[in-house]
Amino acid sequence: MNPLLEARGLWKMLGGKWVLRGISLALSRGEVVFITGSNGTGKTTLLRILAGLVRPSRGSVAYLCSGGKRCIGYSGHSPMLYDVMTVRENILYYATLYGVDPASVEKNPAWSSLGLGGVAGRRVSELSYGWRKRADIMRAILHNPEIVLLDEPFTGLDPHASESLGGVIRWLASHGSGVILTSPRPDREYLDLADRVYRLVDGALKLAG
Amino acid sequence: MPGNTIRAVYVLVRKDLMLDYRSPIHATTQAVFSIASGVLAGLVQRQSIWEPGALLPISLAIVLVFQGIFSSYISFVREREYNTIDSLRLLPLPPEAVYTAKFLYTTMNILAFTTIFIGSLAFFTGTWPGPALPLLVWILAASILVGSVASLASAMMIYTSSPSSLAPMLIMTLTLPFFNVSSRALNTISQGYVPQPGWEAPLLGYSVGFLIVAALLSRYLLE
Repeated sequence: MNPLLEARGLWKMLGGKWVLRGISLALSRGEVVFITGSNGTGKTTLLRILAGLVRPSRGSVAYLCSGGKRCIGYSGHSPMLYDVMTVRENILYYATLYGVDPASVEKNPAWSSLGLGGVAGRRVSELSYGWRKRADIMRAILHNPEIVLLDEPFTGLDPHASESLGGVIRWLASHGSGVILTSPRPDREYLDLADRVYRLVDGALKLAG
Repeated sequence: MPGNTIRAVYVLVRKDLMLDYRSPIHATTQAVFSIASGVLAGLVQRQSIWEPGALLPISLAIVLVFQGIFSSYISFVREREYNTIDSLRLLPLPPEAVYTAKFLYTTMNILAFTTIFIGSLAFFTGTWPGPALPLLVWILAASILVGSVASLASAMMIYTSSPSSLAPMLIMTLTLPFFNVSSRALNTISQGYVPQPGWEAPLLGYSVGFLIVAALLSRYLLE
């Protein structure tokens, strides 16, 4: 096993309540981990801690990938895109900031798999949630991150888009990325992809498959 | 700053310019405020018994503070509204570079709209308020300070649930020493004279010094 990320003893208090209680988790290259659990159990908080966006109250996260922040690709609940810019402008903006050759973005297999060519010239504000979600996932992975963290990535996607996204996640894992997916619903899309499934209950991770 | 970081700062500034071009509500508000302030100051000046230019220091300070408050809402606060603040924090850039980009755009904004105020004031009073070069240098020094405070305040505002009072309080408090120290030079300029040589050095030093401190503090807010 070739670990990319090791979380040790993560505790997090929110609003006077312990949301996470001593969670330890490792992610290896080529592995897809799925974390499920009811609403409010702390899945998003855990993912944000793993992304380095939230500090844990106790515990630590070690990144064993190269490139610092560049090795993380994160897509949260709400797309992180500028409404008044087109999909192409958004993606090229982030590509430039990540040092990715803008000319190579539309040649990335994920671009065509997610079907973004058809909406590239449209402003994000004109798109449905599903299209915004697809564009945001493209934003998160355009720099080929080693650690990919996707919060409810299939939410709002139609069956065809879900299948395409599944293909993109498999492609990422086959090229050495470690992927963590979260969702309150243990749907087939997630279970088909996952090498390990965890259930987050009372702030603790329980291996479910 | 390495070349890639400088390019990233340029890309961040260009993106803010594009957002304001595509959705010009903030820019329009700031322009209207500057023009209206010029009209008001011009009318009061024309009808008052004060010397010409007497109202310039106070009206300029008020316009700068308000432009700073407006600008704080188009800095990090706007990123929170677009839900893009986390994407900025995840960028492979030092937080100081992100802060510098926001500072540059905010300062350009304040400088532009304060210059519009001066133009409006000149138009409605029929006279240019003081020698142009010293006045522009004074506005530049003040804009750097207000821009750095406004950007820092904006970065703090993304973490507070009641941000509306934070920017005015911080901008007023942290720019007071500058306005106090620079008032003599501005009075001289408003009376139509050029201040003594070297007058601009302490003002620019204060502004740039605060900018460096604010950029270092931004690491704790944006990391």
